[in-house]
Amino acid sequence: MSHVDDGTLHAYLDGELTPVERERTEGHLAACAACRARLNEERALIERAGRLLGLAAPPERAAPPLHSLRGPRRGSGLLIPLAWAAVVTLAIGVGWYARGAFLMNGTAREPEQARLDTGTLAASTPAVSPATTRPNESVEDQLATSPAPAPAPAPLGRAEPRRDQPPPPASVVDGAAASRGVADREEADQRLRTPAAAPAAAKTLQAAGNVVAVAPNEMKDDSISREAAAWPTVGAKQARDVLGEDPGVIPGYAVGTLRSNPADPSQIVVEQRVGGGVVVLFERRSEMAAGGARRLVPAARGREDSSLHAQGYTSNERLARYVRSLRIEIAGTLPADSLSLLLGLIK
Amino acid sequence: MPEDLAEVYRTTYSALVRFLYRKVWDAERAEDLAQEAFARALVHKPDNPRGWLFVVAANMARDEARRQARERRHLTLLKNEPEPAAPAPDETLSAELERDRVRKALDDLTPRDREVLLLWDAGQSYDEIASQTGLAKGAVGTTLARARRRLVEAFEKGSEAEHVAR
Repeated sequence: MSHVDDGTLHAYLDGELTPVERERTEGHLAACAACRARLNEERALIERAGRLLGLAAPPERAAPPLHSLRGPRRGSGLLIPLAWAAVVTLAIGVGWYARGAFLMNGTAREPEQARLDTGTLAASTPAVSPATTRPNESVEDQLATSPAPAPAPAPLGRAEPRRDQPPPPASVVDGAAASRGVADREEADQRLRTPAAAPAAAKTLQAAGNVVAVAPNEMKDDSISREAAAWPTVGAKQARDVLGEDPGVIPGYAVGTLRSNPADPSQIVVEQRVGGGVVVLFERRSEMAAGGARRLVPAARGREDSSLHAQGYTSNERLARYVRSLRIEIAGTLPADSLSLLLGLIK
Repeated sequence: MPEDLAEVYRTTYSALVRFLYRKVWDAERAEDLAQEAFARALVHKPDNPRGWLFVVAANMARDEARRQARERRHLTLLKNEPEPAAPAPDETLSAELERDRVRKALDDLTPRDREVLLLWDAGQSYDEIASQTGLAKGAVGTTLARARRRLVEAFEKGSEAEHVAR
């Protein structure tokens, strides 16, 4: 037979020839030193090209659970660019607090059942000091370098762990942050995250083209997160003591700052960074303090109402969803897929 | 969901991210698009999920590239000045530089050569590549041989040019 062409050599080396073709090729190679020499050259070429492509590979990160990808999709399927601002207000209700919201929406649950889920939860985005904001860095980098240590993640107290799901995604946050001490956090965090510092930071983050945290005081409604950003930070141990257990978190993501409501110490907020730089604040109220917290019901309901009916947001910018007993509220523009992922993780 | 989609997700997700990354050159964006492709597969339940996913991913990456090109044009109009010269490379930047060289080398390939090469590197078989690109199966090996050679040549040429420039 005539000499083996390059395409056949590559197909041979790639293991893509049919048995008949392979036999014929090997027959020729056995008899033809020139083609054997070319075979070695092509093998080296394939390895070299493969190595080059390996230089241009993304970092390997674990896939999020497949079920978390489910959810309503935009018709075009095109994602809204992540660079758009997001003010995320998640409210997960439990007990008295949840029941108010659920009754309001006709999805009342038994308190026992609701209590299985995480406590009151509010999410907001971080207000990072402009001084720490560098335009070419990702939000995560900025946050990782900010003096906000992350205590070890605590498992979300879930009633139904999914057996079939892959491991949770690797933490998007530099683990080094987790090892830093708690001591300097309080004042540093307060300094970095005071509302006054926030608007400029939000703008800078937008310019950086990342998922953006809009400063709490840019929020148009009187939501929990606006207050929570100014709450004093607390240590993990203190939070555990207040709640009687570890605070609920999105599993697989490093836990950021913990804060306590000065007006109601039984209320703990956990700040977490999720993919794309969105920072989520989980707000949780101690079950033990539920009685004491009852006095705050009207205020909480009021907040709930005002955020539900906040003016000035288009339907695109304001979303409220229910996942069983979780009330998730998004103010600002968040890509639908990010929301689905977030919901999946919380589930 | 179809059972096999879960399996495809397990085995193909990172390959799809890799495939997309070499088109959008942004790891997070590539992950977003890959997840979006799987989310669509959950809805559409295609018969051949793997092939379907790569076709959808390629389309999404193409739309993304168009959008980025539009934005770049817009930015160029706003800025109307050349980018400052890249700073001298140091050790910490070398990985990034190499990646950029590979990226430039890939840009030098014809769209078809590049597509076939990326599909192969993402674990697609000749049969799958053929059905996705419309090439005859017999032409896949020839295309891959040419694409690999051009990639290596373009990479080395780019490296030499940088050495001369320095």
